[in-house]
Amino acid sequence: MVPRISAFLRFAALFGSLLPGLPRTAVAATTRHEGTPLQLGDARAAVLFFIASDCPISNRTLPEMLRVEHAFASRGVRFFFVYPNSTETAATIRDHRAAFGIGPNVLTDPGQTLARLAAANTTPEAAVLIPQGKGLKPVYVGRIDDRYLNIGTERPSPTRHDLESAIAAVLAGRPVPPPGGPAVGCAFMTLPAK
Amino acid sequence: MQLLWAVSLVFNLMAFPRTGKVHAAEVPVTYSRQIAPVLYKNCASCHHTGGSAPFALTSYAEARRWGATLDSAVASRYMPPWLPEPGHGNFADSRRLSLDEIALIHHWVDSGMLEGDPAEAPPAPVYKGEWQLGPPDLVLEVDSPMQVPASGTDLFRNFILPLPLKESKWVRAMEIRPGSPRVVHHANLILDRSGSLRRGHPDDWKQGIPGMDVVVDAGEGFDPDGYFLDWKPDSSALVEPPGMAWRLDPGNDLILNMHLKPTGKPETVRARIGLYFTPDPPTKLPILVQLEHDAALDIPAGDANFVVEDSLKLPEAADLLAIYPHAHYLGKRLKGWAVLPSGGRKDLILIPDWDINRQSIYRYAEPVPLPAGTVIHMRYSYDNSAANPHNPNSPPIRVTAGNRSVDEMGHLWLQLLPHPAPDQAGDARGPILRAWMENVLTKNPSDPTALFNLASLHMAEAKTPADFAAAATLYRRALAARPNDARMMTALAAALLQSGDTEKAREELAAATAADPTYADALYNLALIEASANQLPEALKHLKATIALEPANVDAHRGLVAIYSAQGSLGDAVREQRTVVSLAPGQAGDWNDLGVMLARGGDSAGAAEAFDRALALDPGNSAARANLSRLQAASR
Repeated sequence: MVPRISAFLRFAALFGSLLPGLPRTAVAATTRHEGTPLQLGDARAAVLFFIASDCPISNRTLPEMLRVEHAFASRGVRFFFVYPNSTETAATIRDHRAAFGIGPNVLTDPGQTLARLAAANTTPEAAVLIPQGKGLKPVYVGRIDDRYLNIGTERPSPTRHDLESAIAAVLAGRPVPPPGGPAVGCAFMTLPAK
Repeated sequence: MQLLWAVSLVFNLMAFPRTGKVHAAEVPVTYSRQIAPVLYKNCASCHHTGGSAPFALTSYAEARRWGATLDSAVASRYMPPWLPEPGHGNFADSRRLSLDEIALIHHWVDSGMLEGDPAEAPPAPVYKGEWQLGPPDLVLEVDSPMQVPASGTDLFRNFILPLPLKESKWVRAMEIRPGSPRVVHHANLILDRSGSLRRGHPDDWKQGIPGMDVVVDAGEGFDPDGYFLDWKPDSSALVEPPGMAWRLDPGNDLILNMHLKPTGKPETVRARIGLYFTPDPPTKLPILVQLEHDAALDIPAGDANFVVEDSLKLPEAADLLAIYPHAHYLGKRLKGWAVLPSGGRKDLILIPDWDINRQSIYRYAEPVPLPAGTVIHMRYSYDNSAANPHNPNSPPIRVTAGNRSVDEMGHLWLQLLPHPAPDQAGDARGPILRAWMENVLTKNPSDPTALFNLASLHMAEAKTPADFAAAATLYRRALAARPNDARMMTALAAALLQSGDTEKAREELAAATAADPTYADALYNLALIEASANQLPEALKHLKATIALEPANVDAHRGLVAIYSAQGSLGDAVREQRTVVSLAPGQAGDWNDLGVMLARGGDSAGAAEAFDRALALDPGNSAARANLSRLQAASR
């Protein structure tokens, strides 16, 4: 149990200091992510999908991500697909988008700035952001659904659509239910030591 | 606060015991020195560019990219895929990592994934995209490619590959190339001796038949399956041990039973199979034997520990070569063991946490000797509760045996090489097959397949009319369980005929041809009975019907020759005999018969040529030699 508690405390501290830090309209020169500006515009919420072109669980979950995007894109939610690994290139992203039908809202985040701000660490993983003051505040970070229980255990189909519930709660102005389990997939590539 | 909760859950990841030793203080763990050898030996056979795994692990950059995931995947033993618990069977090609290797990887990731001196790394393994054993003697390809959708549950499909063989072949090795290895989770190849699955699906077999398991008709004759022919992502070409080539005959189909997993984007799958032949027939004939109790598989919704057991006593000594435990998604703990006549116990396999996604055939490092009288046991437990994440039914429902993924199964297949006693006559596989079928009947006394097989074993050994009558009784029991089965009726007729009851045999055959007018064997046998009763027009009609179904049935053409000859229709007889020698040109007797017919019709030159052919095939054929002499004498 000890590691669990320490992780809890560590991230509590992280959120305490970083929550308001995400700029509301976007891609500031100081961050290293590139691509579509992370702007809410008129939207009520933004959803970031952290994905990797070479991660099988991320790829198997992409149809579900696209389904959620389709269900909520016309209801005031903007969706962004974020590639957090520095191994991705323009070519891998182009091919990946074409093969899986990913739209134009794509960001690369090789310095994992966005990922750190949203406290995501896995592909696939989602973050739901809502406006707060001049910035964006994550109100949900975690798994898309419960299909994968851990890296070796997979349900035939999901029984709980955690992300979808979170988005619906945001739109309804209800408290956002937390994910019911860990995000399962591929760890982000470890950044080189500074 | 709710978000904090969420994040803490993210880190509720499993804390795996790490008791392996790494002497970190002494040597820094580097990719080049310690990690590359572990990855190349245990991971690279799938994890290489173009391999079945989703990414490669054959360079420092790749290992670094995947370091953190690698660490958790090996710590949880998700990778490399290997289900059997150590200490319960000593298997060839075990993929289980040692605790030291797991600890080494963890330490390397934890200490910053250092590369070290690249010169220290062993050379990365090289994999060729081609057939591993060189160009095959025969390549078969699935007729139409299958489109696998981007998402959804796993698919199970049986692709039928008819064999374009003109003669029987012995197969010494085989390689399955699944076409899209990242979609295909595993595959089993099944021999359909009688083309039964294809005949059962005349309209849709080219698209592949859905189903996790298939039951095929073994066809005529005693030839039980003896080989596990499988593919999984880390499979190499499957080379049989010396003296254990397997046979393929013209008319056989290969059925490729594939488990396909959507990848997130639409995929096309088209498998190929490469076969390597040998001229040497086998000297050893193994047999596959199954323990099961599917009839007892009736798992209440919510039952987290439902148990199914079976046991089988070996009537003769045998070596156990390989084992294949099989269940669907509810299987939990799968166990097989043997109790020796001495009372000793030998564990054969234990899978403590079954996962169909990683099912495999396990081959023993050394054959496991099992003396006559050994009792083999299986005990499988199933979890049909909502807590079983693999449960295909949400909420859980009552589950019984079946071949859909929402049904369940519990099979323990064994590959046994019988060692008959020195004075034992007959095919050594017979007693084991008999014991298996008798075991099936103790669980289900009216199992038609077991009754039919048992009756056929009786037929093979029968000597007296009473023996054949006993076989007929078993066939009748099989028929009671599966009425109107033309083949069972035909087999019953054969037993009746040999027990001396020609009239009952004829009735049974007439009924068989009515039940299935396309079953040629019934028509042919009916014609034989009619011919021997001198009912030539009826016999002629049924032989013609046989040939309409099976134009290359040589025996039916020979039958026509006999009837036309008896009717005095020499021209028709000669025409049919020419068909006989064109279908089976290697039989001296047929050429001799043709020569006799031609000589009687006045074609001396043609007759002489036919006798010459007979003598060329069989110089000692005295009938052909005498006929030729007579012909030459007459022409002088």
